[in-house]
Amino acid sequence: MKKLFITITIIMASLATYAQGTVVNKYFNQLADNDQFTKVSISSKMFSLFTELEAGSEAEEEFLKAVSKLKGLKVIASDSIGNAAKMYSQALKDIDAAGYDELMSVKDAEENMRFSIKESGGKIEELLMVVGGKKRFVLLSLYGEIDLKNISKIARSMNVGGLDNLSKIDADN
Amino acid sequence: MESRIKELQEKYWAGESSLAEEAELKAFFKKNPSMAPEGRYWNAVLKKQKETPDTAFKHPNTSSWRSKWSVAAAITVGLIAAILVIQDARNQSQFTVEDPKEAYEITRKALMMVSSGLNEGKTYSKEIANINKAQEKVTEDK
Repeated sequence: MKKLFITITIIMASLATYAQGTVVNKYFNQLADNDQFTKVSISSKMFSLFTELEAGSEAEEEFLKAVSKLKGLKVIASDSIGNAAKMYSQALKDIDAAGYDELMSVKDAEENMRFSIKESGGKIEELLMVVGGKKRFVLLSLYGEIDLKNISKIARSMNVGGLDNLSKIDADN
Repeated sequence: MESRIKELQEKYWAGESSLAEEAELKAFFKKNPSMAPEGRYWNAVLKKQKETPDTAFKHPNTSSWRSKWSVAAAITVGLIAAILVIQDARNQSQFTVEDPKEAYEITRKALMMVSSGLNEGKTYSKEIANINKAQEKVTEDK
């Protein structure tokens, strides 16, 4: 009887941690047959292929640097669903229940956005991004070793041209 | 015969028996081990065992149907777990991008989205910081 109890506990625990690792997996399973959603999964094998590419620009360099540490990318997205807001709040609930920590929330007139992370030993293991708009819902999961500074640099270095001009204007004044 | 043995035994315990008589006793007990003092002890043990069947080592809680059920339950749980894992793996692999070019584009877009999202959050908090500064200035000016 004791043995049985222990066995069941172990199985439940392993199932729980298994489910915990990726809220995204749950959504993949739920929406597997729903054609309204685009579902994409990219494996670490692909990422290792990318790292053989040569970076042409600074932005690309940051991008390849970020990618080289990733183990997986999963995206579920739709631009044309009616209950996007409901899905968004449900996703937030699921993420909280799975033990993710909120990193930041951004709200504007059009959309809500939230970043959540899962840490292990002081390092970010998974970054979840959820976007909920009027008809838009995006759930994006990056896992592997995640360096937020590195990732946030990608977009900034893309805008370098524009920023340069801005600083020139300042200098002129 | 029996009385003769008894007599000899009494003599033996009293320490009065001769060597020949002791040899006679030894010979008798060798022929009839059950009559010997230790033989009688073993007889008693055997008799006791027959009276109370050997149940002392059985755990009172482990009746057979229970252990059968527990095995069945464990197998069921194991099977369900296996099915879930297999189903999940199938669902995941279904959407894996195999074309490197496509994968590159998707990854680039995805990271750009995450990156600009993170920056949006930052500029947002910067704006808040600016508002705070402005407020401080206002209060200082007063």
